[in-house]
Amino acid sequence: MNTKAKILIADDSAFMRKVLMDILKEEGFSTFVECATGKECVAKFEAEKPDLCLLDIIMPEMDGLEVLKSIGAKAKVIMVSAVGQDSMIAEAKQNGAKGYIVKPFEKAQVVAEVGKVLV
Amino acid sequence: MLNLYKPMKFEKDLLQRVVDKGSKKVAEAFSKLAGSVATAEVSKVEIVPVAEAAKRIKRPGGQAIVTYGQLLSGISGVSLLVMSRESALVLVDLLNQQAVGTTGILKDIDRSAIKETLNILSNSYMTALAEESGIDLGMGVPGMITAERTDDIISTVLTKSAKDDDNAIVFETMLVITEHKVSASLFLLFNERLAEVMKK
Repeated sequence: MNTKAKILIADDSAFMRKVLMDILKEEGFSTFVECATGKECVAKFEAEKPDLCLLDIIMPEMDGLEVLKSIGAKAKVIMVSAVGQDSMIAEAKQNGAKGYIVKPFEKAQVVAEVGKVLV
Repeated sequence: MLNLYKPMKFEKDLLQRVVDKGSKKVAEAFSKLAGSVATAEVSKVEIVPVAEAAKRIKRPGGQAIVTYGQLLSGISGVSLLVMSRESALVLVDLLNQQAVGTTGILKDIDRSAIKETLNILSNSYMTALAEESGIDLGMGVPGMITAERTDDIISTVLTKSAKDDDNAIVFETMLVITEHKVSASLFLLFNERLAEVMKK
């Protein structure tokens, strides 16, 4: 796994951003970009060119699915959301998501999904 | 005169299946989040006039911590997570995997953790609803309110598009982590049109 990768974490919850960063730091990752809204995520994606985006769905201003539709073709995106309906998971994958993690998650699940994308 | 909506048997059966599956999923999610076994001590659904829906929200004595999220996708509804301040402080410690008793004051990051808990529990319940009824509902960004504002939020959301004689469907799950004396109640309140949509 390429632990030098820059990872963008978009979630309106500061707590959830911290949980994800702590898991990835333990795996050796050290470069992160944080966003609390969908609009901020699109802007920071263009400015920072991250190697991977972990994207929540329920966010203010612009939800994660809209963000995915905007950047999904040019980004590696794993959705990390409490929304667990099959229809949402299918829609995210149709729009380019490389993975989908339903909250609450196990640490191993996050590591495995990130590992699949950042080979 | 009140239109006391009486669900037909198959709707009652469907609502009960949602309650059973929803409470199970919520207890599993709460256990996973807190890293301690949580059980659903109360698990029920009631249909009451919209004007009385707020009275179904039981609050703990002392200072209550109330988090809410408005439900989206066409049917008026609101989700609430209600717990005592003492339970909230212990829950924050469990969520952060730190010794119980560490947190004495709820800081911004702690409030964020509690709001995220509501987000996860509500969506777990709504996944059960989708699996049993095919109805996909979404939730807005969670917020924290004072206990005194709970009635206003409920009446604003539920009466916004309701007729005077509409009823509300109130799903309630009380979660308990016995080991750490944590208790929290999750409520999902919908306009009765949810049952009409389910019927279809």
